Amino acid sequence: MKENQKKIKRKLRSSGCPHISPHISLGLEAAAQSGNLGGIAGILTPGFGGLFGGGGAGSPGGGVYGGGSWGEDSMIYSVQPAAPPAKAPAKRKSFVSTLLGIRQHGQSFKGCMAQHADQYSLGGFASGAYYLALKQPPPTWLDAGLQFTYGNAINTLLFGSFGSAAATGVGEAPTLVGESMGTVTTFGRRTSDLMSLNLAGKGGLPQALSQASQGAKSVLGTLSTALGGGLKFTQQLTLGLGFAAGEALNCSVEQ
Amino acid sequence: MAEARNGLYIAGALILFAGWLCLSVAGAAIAFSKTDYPPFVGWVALAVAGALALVTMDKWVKALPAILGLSILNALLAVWRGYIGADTSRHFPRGRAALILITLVVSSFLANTVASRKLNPVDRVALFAFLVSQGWAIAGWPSLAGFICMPCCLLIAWGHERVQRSRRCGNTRVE
Repeated sequence: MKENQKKIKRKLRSSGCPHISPHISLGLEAAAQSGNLGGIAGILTPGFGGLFGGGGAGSPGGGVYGGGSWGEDSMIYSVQPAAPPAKAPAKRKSFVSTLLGIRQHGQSFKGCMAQHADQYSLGGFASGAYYLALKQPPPTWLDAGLQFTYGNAINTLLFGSFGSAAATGVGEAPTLVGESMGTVTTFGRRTSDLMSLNLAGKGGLPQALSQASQGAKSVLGTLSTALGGGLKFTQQLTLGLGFAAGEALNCSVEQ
Repeated sequence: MAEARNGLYIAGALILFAGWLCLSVAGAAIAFSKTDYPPFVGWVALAVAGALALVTMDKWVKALPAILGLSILNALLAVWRGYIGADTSRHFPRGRAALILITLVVSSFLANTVASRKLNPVDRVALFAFLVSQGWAIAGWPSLAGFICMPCCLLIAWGHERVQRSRRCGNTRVE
């Protein structure tokens, strides 16, 4: 046993590493007591760049918790390798779930929609094309570029990040306000400040939208057209919702 | 009926555009990366995509402001949230996103002017350069160079048209 200990220390010295952490030295002693050098090699492999590579059961794992066989006094390794998890009985997939289902077992619908929000867009399709061509997912920068340029804002707005959903609505406020003016507020329109739905109106524009708001409306209209890039908000909404509907269809079926 | 036909037309155009985008991305990926396919396959795909873009330019230029609208909306979200898309780990500086937003809005304004007239050869070259710039913007992410080139290309088309128009007006006055 002492010979083993000496052997290990000699190897450590020859490797040019004078500092041995207390954990490792404890492990060394424990391993030396149990007479298992292979496990020590398993510990040292990551630290010493494979100096002791292939020296025992622990080395292929390449880590401190790499599953070696150690003595009972070991303070680093567990004695027995972890038992493999019990396999769940195989569930037979239906044709529909094979064709459509993307929701994982036990995953919520919202979670599925949030997870796949980026994939259901023009940018997501392009990423898919990259994956088909190269058999590997696109690099992060390319994915980000595609999502920035051709991402589905509506989908990510609805399901991407719930915390910011209300905040991002502010960005679309000009369009929403511009489109709602003169439609929603025509109910029970009166020539006074009073707005009521159960009183017959006498006609005329509500005071809130009569003269002063015309300028604001035109500014908002110009702004929303400019920021909307010539695409009406409703058209953008339709486009985004089309993708969202496809995703919802797939997320409604469990894998 | 006309609305339904219009909707179907838009949906069809969108599918075709998605197909074209996939062809371009896959072609670029094959041409510029090490894959199982030889690089010339990627170049052929890119050439086909380029040819399609040239042939159908009169059609897609009308939808260019709409396509830019998608980018503008995404840029707005990126400015507001500080990340791109649904993945909160994809952080993106708000200042940079705002700069890109400005370039996109300018591009959108200029695209509207180009879309509303009959295209001349300078317009076609500028629009093709715009497409290449957009590809560069995506491939060179997060570099701003491609995004800055996008409105510049359209600016050339817009400026050329303005010069032509002023010349026409000058000739008319002389006559």
